[in-house]
Amino acid sequence: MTKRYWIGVALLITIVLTIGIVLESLQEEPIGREQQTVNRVLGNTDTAGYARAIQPRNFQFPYDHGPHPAFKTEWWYLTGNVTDVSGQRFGYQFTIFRTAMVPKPGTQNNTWLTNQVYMGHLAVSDISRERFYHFERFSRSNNQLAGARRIPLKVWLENWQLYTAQADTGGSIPPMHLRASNQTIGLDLHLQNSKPPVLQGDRGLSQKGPQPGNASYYYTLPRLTTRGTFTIHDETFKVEGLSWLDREWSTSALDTNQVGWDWFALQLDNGIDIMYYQIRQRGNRVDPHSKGSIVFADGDYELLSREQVRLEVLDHWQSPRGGGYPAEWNLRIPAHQTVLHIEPAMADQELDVSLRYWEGAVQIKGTYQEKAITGKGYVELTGYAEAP
Amino acid sequence: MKKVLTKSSLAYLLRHPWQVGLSILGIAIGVGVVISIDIANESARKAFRQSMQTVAGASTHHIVGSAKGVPDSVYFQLRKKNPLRKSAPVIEGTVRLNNDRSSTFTVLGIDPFAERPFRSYFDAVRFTADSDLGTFISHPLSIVISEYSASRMGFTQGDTLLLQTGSKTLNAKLIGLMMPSGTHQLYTGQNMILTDIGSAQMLFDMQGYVSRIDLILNENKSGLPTPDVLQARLPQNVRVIRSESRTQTAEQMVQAFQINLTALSLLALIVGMFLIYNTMTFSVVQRKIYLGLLRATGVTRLEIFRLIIQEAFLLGLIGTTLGIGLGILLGRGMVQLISQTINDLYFVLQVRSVDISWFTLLKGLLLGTAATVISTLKPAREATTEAISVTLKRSAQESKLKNKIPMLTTAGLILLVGGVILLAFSQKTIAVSYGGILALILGFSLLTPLTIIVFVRILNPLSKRLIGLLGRMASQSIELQMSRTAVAIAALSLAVSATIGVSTMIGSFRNTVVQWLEDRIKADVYISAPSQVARRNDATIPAALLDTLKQLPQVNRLNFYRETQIIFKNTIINVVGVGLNRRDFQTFTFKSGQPENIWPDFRRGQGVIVTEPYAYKHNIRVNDRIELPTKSGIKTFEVLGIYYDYGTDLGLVSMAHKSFVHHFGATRLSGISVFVNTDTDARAFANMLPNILPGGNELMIRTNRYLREMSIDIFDRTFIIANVLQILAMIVAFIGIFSALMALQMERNRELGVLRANGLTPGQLWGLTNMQTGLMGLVAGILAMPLGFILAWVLIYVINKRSFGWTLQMDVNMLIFIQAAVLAVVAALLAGIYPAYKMARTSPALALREE
Repeated sequence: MTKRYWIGVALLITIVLTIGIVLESLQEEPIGREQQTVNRVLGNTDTAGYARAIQPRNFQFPYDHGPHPAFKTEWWYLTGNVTDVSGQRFGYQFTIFRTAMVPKPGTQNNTWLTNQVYMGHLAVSDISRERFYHFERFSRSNNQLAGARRIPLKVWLENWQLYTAQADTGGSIPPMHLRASNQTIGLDLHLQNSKPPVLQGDRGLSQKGPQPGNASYYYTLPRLTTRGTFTIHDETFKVEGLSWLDREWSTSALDTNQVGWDWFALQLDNGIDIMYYQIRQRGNRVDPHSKGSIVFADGDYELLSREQVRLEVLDHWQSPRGGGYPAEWNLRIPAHQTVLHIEPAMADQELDVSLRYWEGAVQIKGTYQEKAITGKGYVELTGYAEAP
Repeated sequence: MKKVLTKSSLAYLLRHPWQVGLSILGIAIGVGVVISIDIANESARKAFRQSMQTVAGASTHHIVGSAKGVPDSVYFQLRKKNPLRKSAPVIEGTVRLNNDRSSTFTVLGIDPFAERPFRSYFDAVRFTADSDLGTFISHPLSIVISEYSASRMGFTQGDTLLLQTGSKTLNAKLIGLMMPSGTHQLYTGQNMILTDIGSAQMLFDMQGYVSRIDLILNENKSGLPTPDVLQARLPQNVRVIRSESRTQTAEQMVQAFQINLTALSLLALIVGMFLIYNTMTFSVVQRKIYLGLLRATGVTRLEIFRLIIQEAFLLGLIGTTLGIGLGILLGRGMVQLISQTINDLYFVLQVRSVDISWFTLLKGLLLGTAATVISTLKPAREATTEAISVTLKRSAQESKLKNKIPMLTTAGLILLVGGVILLAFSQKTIAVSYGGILALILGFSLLTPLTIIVFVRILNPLSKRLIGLLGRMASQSIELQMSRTAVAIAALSLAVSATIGVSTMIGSFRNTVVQWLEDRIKADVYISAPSQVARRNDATIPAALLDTLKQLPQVNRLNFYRETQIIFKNTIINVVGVGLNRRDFQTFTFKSGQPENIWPDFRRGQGVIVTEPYAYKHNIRVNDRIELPTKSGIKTFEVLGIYYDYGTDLGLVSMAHKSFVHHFGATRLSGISVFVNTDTDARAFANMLPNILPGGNELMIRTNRYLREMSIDIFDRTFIIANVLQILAMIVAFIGIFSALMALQMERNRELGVLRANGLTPGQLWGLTNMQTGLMGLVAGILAMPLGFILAWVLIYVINKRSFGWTLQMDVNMLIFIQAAVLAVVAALLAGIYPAYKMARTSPALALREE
């Protein structure tokens, strides 16, 4: 989907960035960096030799939980809102990105040489104290350092790991463990899935642009019951709440007309989950490929087209690192008699990593079929960091 | 008044352009040599640091292992639990590029994802259009070199380069260039190849291993383990060391070499000082009447003293300024020589730039002017302390000097004794040893007047009989004009003795090495991995070659060895495992211990033998125990014997190969020596081997003769710079004697005018003058012999021993001594030609006319 999708691009860019190939040009022209970098990478990005998402695929689980190395990019994207026994609120984001740097894998004769690179983002929002912690990591794929295993599922970047303890049988998703720590924070969470996978777009084929192949395979586990501990500095909190997992893989060239996106993952207290992303084009127009889905409490879902959703920005937040983000919204889905007022749980949840973006916990108030409703969720905002 | 004095002083200087020019030249060359060596040493040192810095980056610590390196599992472990994220695996090795003997490169195998905190040059990499980081980490043997190296060697991106490592030649693809970022980094990364850690593993046959792991451990920052805590977490076969210790140990390697060069360069300055002294003395003497008159008209002593010092200062300043310019020019050449030697022997330098620091220039300026002023103190004092009537009298100078001979001789003897004492007690401090040499040199110089008298007394009757009156006059005049001749003779003899000393030392060194090579190189054919740096043998060949070789009918028996370099307690230790039989063990010549007694214990792995430099540097005696870090922790080993070895001044610790494998776990070999059967032609066999042995084309296969010649070749290259310095000192001495003779002969204008008036033909005058200069050269040559011998002795038994720990057999080659004497005479004669020519042409009337 577009959001993750852009991040995938971001991944590529970031790695390239980090290694500094464009460092010089960046230093010369700090403004318009993102777009410039995007273009540069796009110019160099050859999709030849990679698998493409052209037609809907027959998703197979547990097979598709694992990696698809023939595609250029892929991610395991977890976000969640949790609360500890005393009522302290936390949000978290844990993402492992995989990128194939070249289509051909490395030689079999050496354990280091590989075409697969992993990037990890880990963030915790300590909402009651208004503290935001975020970290980024890179590693090449290597048995020991980073990688993704299919059965039983394990995705890891050093000691940031998402895995299932037992092999998956049939179509159900076994409980997953998330363990990730560094010197500042630590997450140790148990994730229990409660709804079947949601196949986004056309049976899981999520179209991003007009050209065939400019699409990804995208499914979501929108509601994972979450239990475990958060460690911040030397303090440990027992927490409970809900998480959201997005899985997406693709090989795409992007439309240079697309400048960023706003992505919403909303979990309502009545058991309904809503996903909506809106791609922004130059001139602040909404891209027709924007779309979403609504998942009912029983797991059934319906897709939402761009026309079905009205998104209205009510406020803005100015980043101290430059750039302004939308910071309060009204989201309406008239067909489902839904009106949601969304606002960030705290203002500064910007990840100041290789490619800056905002990804944070939000709280929701509104009405669903004329009944008052509350909820929590995550919002991702990209393409704003350097905007004037 | 002051102005008038200064004007007169300038006028005098301008009227004697030759003299002034020569003394300025003398100072210039003296200062130039010192500065050039300083520049070369400084540049080499900086290159060293930068090379180390380039490869060590910002790391504070390293994890190092033993022979095979550090298992990469150690790195994975570091990254998995409580990951130490500021850690980076590194493989470092040397390769030869495209079989070009002169292009030795350091390969740095890295993981770009871990590099960020350590080294920044990856940022400056520009990949080709069809390559990127992905190519770098996925395609085997994708490499990057600096743009500078690429353009120098004519490579373009996408080229396939041949990398020759110890055991094989592989094709590598040039996928990018490191662009210089900032002028300062233009030379950084020169001689360096960047490749992925995986490619480096393939290149150096290090699957599963890395050379070291770089770390940043901030000991004040909580959350990071201290080196000790980290060490406890690691397996026993690896150690955490501080980064500086790597640089320091590397610097120690070349320190002795550099101190010796500095000392040799100072020699040129000393000779230069003699020259200044001579010039200034002469300029005072020549103006004796004028100065006397000044005194008579009421100019104070202080004013005259000041005047002369002022003159000297001016000359010194001009000479020094020229010298600095000359030094910078010479320095460029010297940097090449020194870098080449360091590259040959110790280390591949990534940097080769000429680095001129203000400090060096300031030092040269001070040294030059100070040396000039100090050399002038005595003549200036002489011009001012004498009574006016005495100053006016020329002969007073001579009689005064003669009266002083007992005092000078005593002072000389005291200096000699002092020098000997300094040498005896200087221990391992090379600088103090050189102080001792300086004392010896000065002591000898002070003996010059006495020697001249003795010599002339002996020569007088002889020359009279042989050549007649003119001969006697020639020899007598040396004594009569000793105040001029003594200094010139001393300077010349000093330069000549330095030639004798250095040549004898190099000759002895060479002979010792040749003899040692004869003893050690007994086998017929030597097979090894081509090592790119002489004193660091890190290339290996597979042990399976032994079996293949044993099958060959031509082979009688085999010896083999494996060498590895480990850093332990801030020193580099080369450990060697040798596999040989009792008979070949005899090729070791022991300094202490008998081979028959050592052999049984050695064979059973009951101890080690160490080389003489190792024993000297670590104060090791037989039966001492030494510590070595093995794969199962630190173990102690008994020293069974100390043997002579001139292969490396870093020192070697040798043990039986089985024991080596047991303790260090490395089974590959550094070299194999093959003894062929008596009916086999070794050369034909060697030529055939590349086709018989697996991977034979990649091996270095050399006959014993070739190996010996190559070793001597490297040896000779090392001493080129010593020879250059020696020649420079000779040039200064030549200028010295030239200007001294000029001064002398011009002063004798009047005397010679009288001779001419009395009927001496121009031809006879020419002969007389030449005879005189020739005799001076002869005295200098003869005087230089004992001093040269002593210098040689000290260089061999004191300086060399203390710098490198080697015992050399002193080899006195009479030819060197005779050559030196001839050199002195020829130099003196050459220097005398122009003055003699001028003298002979002067019309007697002109010469007789007083100014």
